[in-house]
Amino acid sequence: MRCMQCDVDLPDSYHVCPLCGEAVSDTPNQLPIEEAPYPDVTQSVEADVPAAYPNKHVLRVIAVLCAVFLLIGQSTLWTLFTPILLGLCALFYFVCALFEKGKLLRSGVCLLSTVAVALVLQVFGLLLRLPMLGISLAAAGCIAVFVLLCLLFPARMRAQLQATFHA
Amino acid sequence: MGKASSALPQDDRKTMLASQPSPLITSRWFPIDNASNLYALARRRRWNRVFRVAAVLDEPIDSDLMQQALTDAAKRFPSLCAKLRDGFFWCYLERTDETPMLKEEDALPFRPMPLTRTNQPNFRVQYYGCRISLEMFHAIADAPGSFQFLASIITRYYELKGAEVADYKAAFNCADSPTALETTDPYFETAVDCKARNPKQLETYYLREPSNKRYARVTHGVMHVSDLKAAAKPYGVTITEYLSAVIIKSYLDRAASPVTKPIRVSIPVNLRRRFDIVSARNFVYMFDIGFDPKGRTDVTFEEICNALKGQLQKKTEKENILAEISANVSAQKNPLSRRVPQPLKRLVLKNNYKKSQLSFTTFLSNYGVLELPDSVAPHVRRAEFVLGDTPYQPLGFACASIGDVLTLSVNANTPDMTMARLVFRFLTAAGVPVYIESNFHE
Repeated sequence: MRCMQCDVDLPDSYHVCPLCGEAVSDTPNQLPIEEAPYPDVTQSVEADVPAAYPNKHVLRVIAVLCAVFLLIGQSTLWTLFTPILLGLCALFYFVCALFEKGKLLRSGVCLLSTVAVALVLQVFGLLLRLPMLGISLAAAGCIAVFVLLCLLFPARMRAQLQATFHA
Repeated sequence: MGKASSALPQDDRKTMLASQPSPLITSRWFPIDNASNLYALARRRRWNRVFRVAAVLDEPIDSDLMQQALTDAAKRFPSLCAKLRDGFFWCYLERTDETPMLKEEDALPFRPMPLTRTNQPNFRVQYYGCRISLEMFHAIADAPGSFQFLASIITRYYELKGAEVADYKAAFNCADSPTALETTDPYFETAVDCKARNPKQLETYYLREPSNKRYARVTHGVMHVSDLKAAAKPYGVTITEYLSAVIIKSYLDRAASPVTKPIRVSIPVNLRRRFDIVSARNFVYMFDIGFDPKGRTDVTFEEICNALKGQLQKKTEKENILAEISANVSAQKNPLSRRVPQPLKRLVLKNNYKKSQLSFTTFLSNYGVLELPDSVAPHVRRAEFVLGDTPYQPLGFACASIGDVLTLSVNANTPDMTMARLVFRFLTAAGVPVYIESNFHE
């Protein structure tokens, strides 16, 4: 098959030229090339990309709630909400990770990051003279779990830390 | 891993790395290379920089045998069997032990690829009829690295079918062990100390095409290399310069009003031969060649060829390449940039990526000749190379050849085929017979 408008050869199965959209002619091809067809798909199937990471949205909501509690909290009781949420967040990730060893180790790093967030909140709390007892307890809890993971899987945990924090 | 801070001279170090087994055989993770930072950090959830290399065999593919060939070849390329991970300061690649799965192609090319939330490596191997294709995330490898992998899979496939291979050429012998040189960061190995530079956005003619993100229209134009060489010869230009000139001329013919800005074509240059490095990772650098019509409408093709002649050769002199890659490596080595958290780097690099993408009108990537072992080459009818679209460039040209058969592929995420039509019509008018095939046809 040939397209006389574009002057190109086309496979025998084509009725219309893909370049110009004109009907093709029965003229023999100039080049002896065999067709290598693609699957007959014109609409892209849904991408095999997983849906948005649910933890990500949970973490965002929790971060906002933490900030709100910290701002409106005027007593030790109020500040306990922040570590409870941080702890729940870490626990959620940790439980999800129990089914996969690699993810479990990354959850250790997640806990370490939670400690870092807690420390930043501590500094803000000190500057704003807010009671920080709850956050201190949360940070201590996270450190304890992190140390436990390091003791259980020392080599893999070292590699995971190197990978995550390599500069 | 692979830092050029070693006290050894570069040549001695390369020799040493070439004789050592790759540390990736035992390591769980490794840093991504200098060029990959851009692809890793510029990625989006529904878009990542992916390209496709494929080969058309002379018979329908035996999927079981091809799966075995893929499994064997994957062990030979540990740097490819990896998935992207986000670190605190940089992204990194984590090795995956899961066997890459061969699948029958059932969708349009360049579907977004799951990168981090998967146990499969960040590439996709598919077959359909006689075509075997490999879609690769650019942070893992470049086109020459991917062609090496594809050639190794095909060679292994024919070995399993009983072919005897003496000289592997572009393919790797799956029985060999990967060397440290193949898996190290080649940019760090070659770079010299110099100052980092900020990327500049050049003034460029840029045609904003109406694009559809869920639409990948691939058009292959198959032609003979000898015909193309004969067409380029009167102008004294190389095939890459000739095709660039055809693309520029097509843009000029398409423009509704006089073009006042330079039309630039971005061309990736394979640095492996220039720096004598065998790498299965990224080792290309993008250079652009262009023509400024200055608003004229009577520009001839010969004028464009004369303007392009030697541009690429001058830009790709070893000293110039070294200066470019050393500047990028210096930016990565900068103590300040190293300690900036990755999400902040992502903001800067996404902007840099956008700048670089808007600094040229389109891409043209010429892989060159795919050299396969003598016992395998007769079974491969053609090699194909297709560039995926980017959020800023919905159109890309790429070509690869095997023997005397060259395939120029145009990928567009737009139904408008004007550019492809103009390019192929120009070639046929210049005496180059072209056979067209597309994944969208009636």
